[in-house]
Amino acid sequence: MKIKTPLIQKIPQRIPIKYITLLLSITGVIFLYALSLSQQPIILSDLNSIEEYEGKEVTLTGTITEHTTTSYGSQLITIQSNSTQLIVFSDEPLTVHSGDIFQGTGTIQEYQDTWELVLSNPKAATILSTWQNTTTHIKDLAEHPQHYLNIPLNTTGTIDHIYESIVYLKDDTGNYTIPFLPENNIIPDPGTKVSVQATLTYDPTHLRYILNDCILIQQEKTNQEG
Amino acid sequence: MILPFALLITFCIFGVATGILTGLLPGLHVNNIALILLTISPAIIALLQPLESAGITTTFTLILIAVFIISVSISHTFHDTIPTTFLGAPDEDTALSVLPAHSLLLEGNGYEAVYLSAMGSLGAIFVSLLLLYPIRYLIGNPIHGYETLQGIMFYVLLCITILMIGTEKARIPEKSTKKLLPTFTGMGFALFVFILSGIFGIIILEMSVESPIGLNSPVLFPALSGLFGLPTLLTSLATKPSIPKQIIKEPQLDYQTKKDSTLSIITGSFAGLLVSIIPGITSATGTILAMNARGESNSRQTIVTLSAVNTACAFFVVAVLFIILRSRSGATLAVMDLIAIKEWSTALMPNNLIYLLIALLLGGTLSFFSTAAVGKIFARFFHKIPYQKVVLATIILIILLVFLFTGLLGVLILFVATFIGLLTVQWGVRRSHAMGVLLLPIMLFFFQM
Repeated sequence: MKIKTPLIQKIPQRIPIKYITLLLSITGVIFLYALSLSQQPIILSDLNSIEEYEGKEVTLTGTITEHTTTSYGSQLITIQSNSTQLIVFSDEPLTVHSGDIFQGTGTIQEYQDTWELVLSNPKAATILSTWQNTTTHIKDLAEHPQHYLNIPLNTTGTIDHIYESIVYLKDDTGNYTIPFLPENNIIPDPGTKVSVQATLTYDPTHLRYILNDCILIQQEKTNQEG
Repeated sequence: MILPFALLITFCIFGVATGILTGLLPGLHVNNIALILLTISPAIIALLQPLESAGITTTFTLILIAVFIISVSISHTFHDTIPTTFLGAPDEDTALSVLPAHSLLLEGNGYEAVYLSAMGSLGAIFVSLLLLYPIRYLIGNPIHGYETLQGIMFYVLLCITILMIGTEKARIPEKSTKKLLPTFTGMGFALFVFILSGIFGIIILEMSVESPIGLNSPVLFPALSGLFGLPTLLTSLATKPSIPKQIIKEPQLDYQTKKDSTLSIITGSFAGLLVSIIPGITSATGTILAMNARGESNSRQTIVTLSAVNTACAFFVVAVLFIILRSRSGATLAVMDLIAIKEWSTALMPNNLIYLLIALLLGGTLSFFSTAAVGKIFARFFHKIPYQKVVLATIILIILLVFLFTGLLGVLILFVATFIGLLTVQWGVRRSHAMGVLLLPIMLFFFQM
């Protein structure tokens, strides 16, 4: 009769410790990798209810509306997303410009009754797109002008008409227009397609939003009428 | 005027004394002391507050703490050879000299190994001092050699890595009778350790650790303690070699030995300079470069070279900090946090650099004598030291410090790093391959630039 050998006896009595170390080091690195995935910051799509994330690591995206460097060399960057603003605090100054699309990872903290995103380190900040490389649609400017107030931006459209030195720019559909003040009184003809670098401001006298400090960076005559 | 100078000397002497402690306990690193000092610096400022009327301002107190840290770092490079020689407890920076120092110990010449090491370190300080101005003009204004180096840094690091792995002498399996296969397997395992450490580095550098008591939390602290500190201590716990009675007398150096030692010190100092400039490489790597540059030599000259690399590196990281405004060690990182670093761009040295050079010169000279003295004591009484208990206490201290500074996640990183560090010890490849933890992420950084 054949006697069954217990499984435990089939395992070599002494596995050399160096193989155990090899196994543990590889397993340890894999475990740390898995852990690092669970440590990824929470990605927030808007800046509302930010207080719910106090003390947590989050990643936020917004347009820079303002930035200042303190006397201690740290930097305060105000970002805006859908009319809501948030201050981003960085220990070290970063190269940023108003209008840039900014993404930062850090911890949400309250400082002097204001909620802030404190960057984990300067590398935790990325400029997704500089303001020169971002095109804002006329439709968005016309529908939500408050989202873009005082931010440098780029937009593209066709000259619709000119009235008292104010040029009206329309989008491709022709349903939305936005007024702008051209630089040096050089007024392109209606029907000309232009790209404009400008800052959207509010004109309280005429109760309207208008693109100021405009630079026309591209002109192309596409109008068949004129 | 006398009081500030007296305090400067006092802090330097205390730094040297602390360096003896960190040097003798292989797992306790200068970086740990620097971290602790950074944390308690407000308490030191408060302690010296009553002396403000005598000219001891807060700024000067911070300079004194920086002097202390630099004295610890230079003293550490002298004294760490003592446990390496007598206790079979090498740390990462001295791992290459394990065999040479141990071969002298087994001949009864352990004290000679310590003396040669101290001589190499002191020589490196004087060579480094002579090189200070040429280096300042070479890597700084007007030649700006560092900027040129930065442009080709990826290739420089790649060449160093290939050299490190290509010169690996471990044979796996060790007792194989075949000629080439075990050597290539050894190199392959060295490459494996380098890549595994590198992946480990990439993972942990993206992780954030948190101190349970609100201290500064550097993620590299548990990683480096695990890769180089704990494996050393654990190995020390497990080994009890039988050592013959030691000959305790000053070594008599003949003309040839003096000539060879001078060459070792000079090549070692240049290699130390490279280690202080190029990110991610260690003194052990520097010694591989120096030994390749000067050609094969005997075990005594390997000890002199390694010590020269170690000390020259500790010297140059301070000078380089003021020339390229970049920190290349934990000690200078702490110094950067404490005092103003003004770029050394003219013939005149910044004042703060002068203070730190005083610490390097005085600390180095004192360390030479203390290393010889402590080396003699060790040679006479080392078999009576309850070393196993001391090592065990150091292990507990490191785990405790890691927990206090980086929390439970830090302890986990420490354990994983320890397993990787133990791989090098148990498979017999050089520990410097574990520096992949920094080298690989740095190489990727420069590759993407």
